[in-house]
Amino acid sequence: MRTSGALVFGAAVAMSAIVVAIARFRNAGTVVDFQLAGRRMGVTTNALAICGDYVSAASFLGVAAAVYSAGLDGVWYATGFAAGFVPVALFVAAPLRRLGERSIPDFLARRYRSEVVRQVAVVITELVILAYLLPQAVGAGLAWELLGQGSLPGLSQYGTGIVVSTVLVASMVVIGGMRGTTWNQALQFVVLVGILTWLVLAVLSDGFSYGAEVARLSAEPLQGLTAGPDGVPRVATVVSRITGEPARFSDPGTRYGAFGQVALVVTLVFGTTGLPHVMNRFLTSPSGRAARMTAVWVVGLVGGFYSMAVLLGTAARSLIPGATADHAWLRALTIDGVLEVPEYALISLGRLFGGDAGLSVVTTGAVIAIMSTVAGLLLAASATWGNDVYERWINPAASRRQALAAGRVAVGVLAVVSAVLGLLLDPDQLTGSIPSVIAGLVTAAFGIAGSTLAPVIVIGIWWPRATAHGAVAAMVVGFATSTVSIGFGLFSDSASSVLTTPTIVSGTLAILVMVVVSRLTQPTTDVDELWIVMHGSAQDRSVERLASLTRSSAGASGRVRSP
Amino acid sequence: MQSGPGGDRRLDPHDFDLFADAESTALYDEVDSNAEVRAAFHSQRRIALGHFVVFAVAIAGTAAATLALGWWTRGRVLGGMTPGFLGAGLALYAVFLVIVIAGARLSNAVEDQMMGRGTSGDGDGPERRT
Repeated sequence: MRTSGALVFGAAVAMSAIVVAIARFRNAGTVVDFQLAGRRMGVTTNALAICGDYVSAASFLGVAAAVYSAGLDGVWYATGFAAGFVPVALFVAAPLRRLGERSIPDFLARRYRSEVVRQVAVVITELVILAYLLPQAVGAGLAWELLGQGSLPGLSQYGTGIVVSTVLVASMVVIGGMRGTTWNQALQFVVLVGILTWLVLAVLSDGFSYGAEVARLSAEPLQGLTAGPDGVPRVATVVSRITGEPARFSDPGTRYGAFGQVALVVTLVFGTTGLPHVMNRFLTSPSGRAARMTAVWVVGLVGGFYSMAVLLGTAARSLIPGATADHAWLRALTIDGVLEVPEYALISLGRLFGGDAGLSVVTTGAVIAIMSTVAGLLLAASATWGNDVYERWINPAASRRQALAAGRVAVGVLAVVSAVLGLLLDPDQLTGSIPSVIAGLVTAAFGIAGSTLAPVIVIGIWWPRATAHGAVAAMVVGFATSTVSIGFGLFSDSASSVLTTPTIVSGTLAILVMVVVSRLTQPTTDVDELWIVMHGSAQDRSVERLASLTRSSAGASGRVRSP
Repeated sequence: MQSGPGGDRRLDPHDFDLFADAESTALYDEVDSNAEVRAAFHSQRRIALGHFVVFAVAIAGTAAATLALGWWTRGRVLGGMTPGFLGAGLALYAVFLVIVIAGARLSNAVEDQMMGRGTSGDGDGPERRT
């Protein structure tokens, strides 16, 4: 491993370990503490942690890669990712927190008064988590290839990255629980923003003019890699899927047709609402209002993050071709000035502007982004297995120690499964069908989440007539249609890219099924009682009043102690 | 109790130490009546849907302009950037933030004004304890 890489990566791991140790010291050792940080995460801390949770390899490496390879069509990735929190803030955050359950399946089971809803939601939650974990493993492998020059015995560098990151993050989650993970994620997001800010400043101070470069890139046809007759990649002009003419950087159609672009954004927007690891975070807020304001902060923070990622993707497209002549390492990564792996766009910029240290910083940032997201996913899985499976079905009389142990075992098992799947996957197989393999795989997870959990969460909150039968039917139909569509899209060379972003069809179908089945079945009992908890603000007022009393009491004590 | 219609003052996690392990609502001594919640719910739903429509129009409008208007992808603003790239890559994020701030402030104001006022509405719910 390069010395600078080892130092930077070691510093990042040490930082996380210290945070975990402090959190471990402050944990009360209860299930709520382990899964939900005692439900007392403040707005700013939780917003930063949600961003750390959400900003995965798909955002840190994938968005810049998508912009680099697909221009405006790649920009819509970032737009969709950022837009996803608008419905969360408007429709979901406050009511979800107010019902006050421990996981998304738990929330749905209480809302629909149905254990069947819980069981179906558990299965879908685990599959969404697994679908989201897989691209993180791929990202960890790709990042390690650039960061390290060493590998574990019997493993490639790609495999070593997967194993090292999985072991580290699973250990930290098991030890630190939700509190340690939250603080880590908040800190990690600040580090990621710092890295992007440094890169943006470095690029701009080097004379990069954002508007002028977009204009220059758009003046000539976009170049991309395609497999030649002999299977060897070669550079060719990208043809617009809308006009059939040579595509340009700021034109739509480089990767998606007109419908495909809409389908992509709809999938990302509605998928966010169904992501268990992200929605679980709102359960750690002290009140519904705090959860709502947390979502508002998140919209602002991710907007800033993605606007920088888009700029850097553009900078990579603009600067890399001209830099290959001076840098042998860059020539090895490119074919005629075009990166073979688009995910290397941001990392290459780091090395161009910061040398080996810059490479190490950006690559470590990528690993941090991955670890942060994986931690959230593992905690969500732990909450689901510990609460919805173990305590409900396997051992209803579980002691606190047993419930915690079940959650920790679930973390370990899921970490191993995702690592094994990551080791089996060859990312080169998928690069032709989607602009960026990491962003593409994450989009598949969004597609499933947006077609299954998102409709039953949102409709369950806002339509009193929604029933358990309707929710189950919607989740089953949404899951079947979205997974079949994504399967064809990912593994068929000739399939339309629209198939990998199916929510506009499968989510709509799920909503229709839910409405029809709900209309035909008996309404949920005691909806009024649920509504008072979910849409009332009594809990919030109590929490804020008690907080105010606590502050007053602390202030009074301080005054008494003061000389 | 609240800081105003926005009610968006920062919450310190240490404010909530009392709730470290309290999942139950035993410590909550405030209640809402059915009538209050029903009325507030309908207002909240209108607010959420209204702001969501603005959000959807902003995204759909940007996408439609990208697909349908030549000057949107060929025109030059701000140092040569196209309006389409500027919209998708920068301006939409600001629009999203404005929408959620406005929606959250309105929702908070509705909760402040319509609930916890000590009225029992049609009498089908408990009175707020004061």
